[in-house]
Amino acid sequence: MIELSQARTQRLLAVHGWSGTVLGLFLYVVVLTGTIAVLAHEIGAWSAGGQTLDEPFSVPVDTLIREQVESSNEAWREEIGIFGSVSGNIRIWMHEHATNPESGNTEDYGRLVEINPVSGDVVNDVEGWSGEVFGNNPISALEDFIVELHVNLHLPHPWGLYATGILGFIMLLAAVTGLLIHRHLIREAFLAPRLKGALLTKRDRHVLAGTWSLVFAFVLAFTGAFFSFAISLALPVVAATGFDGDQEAVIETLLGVPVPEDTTAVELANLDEMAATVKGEAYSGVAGYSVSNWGRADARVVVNTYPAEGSMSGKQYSFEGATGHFLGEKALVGTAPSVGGAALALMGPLHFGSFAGLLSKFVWVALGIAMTYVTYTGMQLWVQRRSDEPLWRGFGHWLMIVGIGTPFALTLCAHTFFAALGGGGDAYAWTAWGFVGASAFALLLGVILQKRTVAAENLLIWGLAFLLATLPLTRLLSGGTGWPSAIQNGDLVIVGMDVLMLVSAFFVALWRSSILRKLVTQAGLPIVERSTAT
Amino acid sequence: MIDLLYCLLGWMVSGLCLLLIARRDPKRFRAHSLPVPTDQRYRGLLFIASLFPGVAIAMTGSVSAVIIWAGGWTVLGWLLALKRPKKESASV
Repeated sequence: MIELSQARTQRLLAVHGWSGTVLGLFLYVVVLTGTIAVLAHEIGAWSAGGQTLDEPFSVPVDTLIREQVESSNEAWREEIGIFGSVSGNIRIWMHEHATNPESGNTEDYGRLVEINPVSGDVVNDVEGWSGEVFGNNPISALEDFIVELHVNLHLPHPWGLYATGILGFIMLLAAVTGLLIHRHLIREAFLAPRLKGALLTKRDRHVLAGTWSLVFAFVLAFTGAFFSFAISLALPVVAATGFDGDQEAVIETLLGVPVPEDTTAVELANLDEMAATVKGEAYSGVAGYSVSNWGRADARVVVNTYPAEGSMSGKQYSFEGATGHFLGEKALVGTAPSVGGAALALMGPLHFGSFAGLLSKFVWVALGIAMTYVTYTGMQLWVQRRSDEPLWRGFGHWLMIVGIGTPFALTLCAHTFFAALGGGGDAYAWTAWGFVGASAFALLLGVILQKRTVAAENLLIWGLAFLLATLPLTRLLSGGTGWPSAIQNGDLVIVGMDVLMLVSAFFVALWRSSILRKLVTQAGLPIVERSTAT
Repeated sequence: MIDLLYCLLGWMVSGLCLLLIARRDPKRFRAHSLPVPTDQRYRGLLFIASLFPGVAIAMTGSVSAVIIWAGGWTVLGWLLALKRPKKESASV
C-alpha cells in the first residue's frame, strides 16, 4: 500500500470525512435513488401493467409510422425520433426546432404519438414543447419521479445537474482518499465487522463494503459526474464559444449526419426494409429510428440497435432516406470512429448497467446497495467518533431519519402513484405529494422523538416493511394487472417486481424482528449478526 | 444467455476461491478472538484463482460478461467477508 506520514494521513482522513459528511445526506439520496433507477424500465413496465411487446420493433412498423408522420404538420418532419415506450408501444416524436417564447431558448416543438404496434391503435397523442410532452404520461410518473430525484434532486435546470455533478466528484474524492488512508486494505479485505463496541463495528462495516466496492465506486462516480457536467456545463460552453449559443446546433454537429440540403419532395424508403438490412450486420434487435427531413431528397435515417450479446453498447446504422441505400455503421460522435466516441459509448452502459438486460441490472443494483451502505455507514462512523459532542449526536439522529425516511418516502409515493392511476388523479402530483408527505411525517417523527432515536428508528423501519409488503396489494386494488393474467401474457416483470417488494419487506422486517431472525437461524440459513451496540 | 452462463460459472469458481481464503484468513480469526487457522498455504494462489474466471471470460471476447462478472465478484467478496467466522471453521 501507499505509505503516508501520519500528518498526511490525518489530513486526508479529514478531507475524506468532511467531504462525505457535509454533503453526505444528499449523496446518500442520489446513490440510493440511482440504485433504484437501474430498474427504471422495469418500474415503468410494472406501472403500465405489462408491455404490448418486449421489443416493439420486432413487428412491421413502417405503415403505422408513415400514417402518423404524413398526416402531421409538415414542419415537424424536420426531426423525427421513433423509440419504444415503457408499455412496449412505439412513440413517434415529430418536431422542429423553434424558439420557446417563455425561456427564449431554441427548443423542440412538435407532436408525440404513442401507438400500439400490434393493433395500430393510437394510445396517446399530445402536442407541445419537448419538456411538456415528455413529462406528461401518467404511467411514467413514478419512474420519472425517481429518475429526476437521482439526476436533478428535483432542483431547476441546470442547478440540479450542477448539484449531482458536484456530489459525483465528492464520491470520487472519497474513494481516492479512502484508498490512500486505508493502509491495510488487502489485509482487512476479509475482516468481518467486530461486535466489540459501536465504533469498531461501524468502522469495520464501512471499511469492508468500501474496500470491495472501491473500483465500481470510481466508475459510477466518474460516469455520473460526467453526465451531469456534460449536459449542464460542457454543452453550453461549447455552444457559447463556437455555435452562438445554439445547443441544438452543437448536438447536430457532434451526433448528426452532415448532408447537402435538397428540399425536393421524395417519399421516404421503407423502414422495415432498412431494419432487414441491419439484420445482416451485428444484429441484436432494433431499438429505434431517427429520421431527419422526412419526405425530402436529403432525408437521412439512423437505425439504432440494442447491444449485441457480449458487447457493451448498441450500434447505429445510417441510410439514405430517399433511396433506402445502406451507408454503413455510423460513428457515435462525428463522422468517423474515434477514441472519444468509443469512451462516450461506454459511459452510459457503465453508469446505468443496462447493457445485458436483467443480468447486468441485478449486479448493478447489488453494487448500488453496497455503495449506499458505504455512504451511510461512513456518516455513522463519523458521528460515532464524535458522539461526545451534542451537535454530532443530533446529526446522528437526523442521519437515521433521512437514512430510513428516504426509502420510506419513496415507497409511500409508489402507493400514492398507484392510487392516483386507479382513481384517475394526477399521477405526477400524487407521486410528488406522497413523497413530500412521507418525508414530512419522518421529519415530524424526528422532532417528536428527538431524544428517543431508537423508537423513531423502529417506527420508520416497521413502517417501511409494512409499505413494501402492501405495495403489490395497492397496485392490484388500483386496477393493476393480476398475477394470473400477467403470467398468461408473459409479463413476468409484474410478478418479479411484486416479489421484489415482498422480499424487500421480509429483509427489512428481518433487520428488526428478533422472532424472524430466530426462525431464519433455526432453518439453518445464514444470517449476519446484528450488533447490540448502537 | 451465454453471458449468464459464463457469469454463473465464473461466480461459482470465484466464490469458492474467496470462501477458501476467508476460511483461513488470519486477521479475520484473530480479530474475533478465535484460533487462527494453521494452514496458510496457497492464499495468494487462491486469490489469483478467484480472478481466473474473469480472464477466461475475457478470452471468449464477451466484454459485457467480463464487466458483469467483475461486478458480481466484488459483491460476492463483500457478502462472504461480512459473515462472522465460527470457531469450528478455524480448523479447516
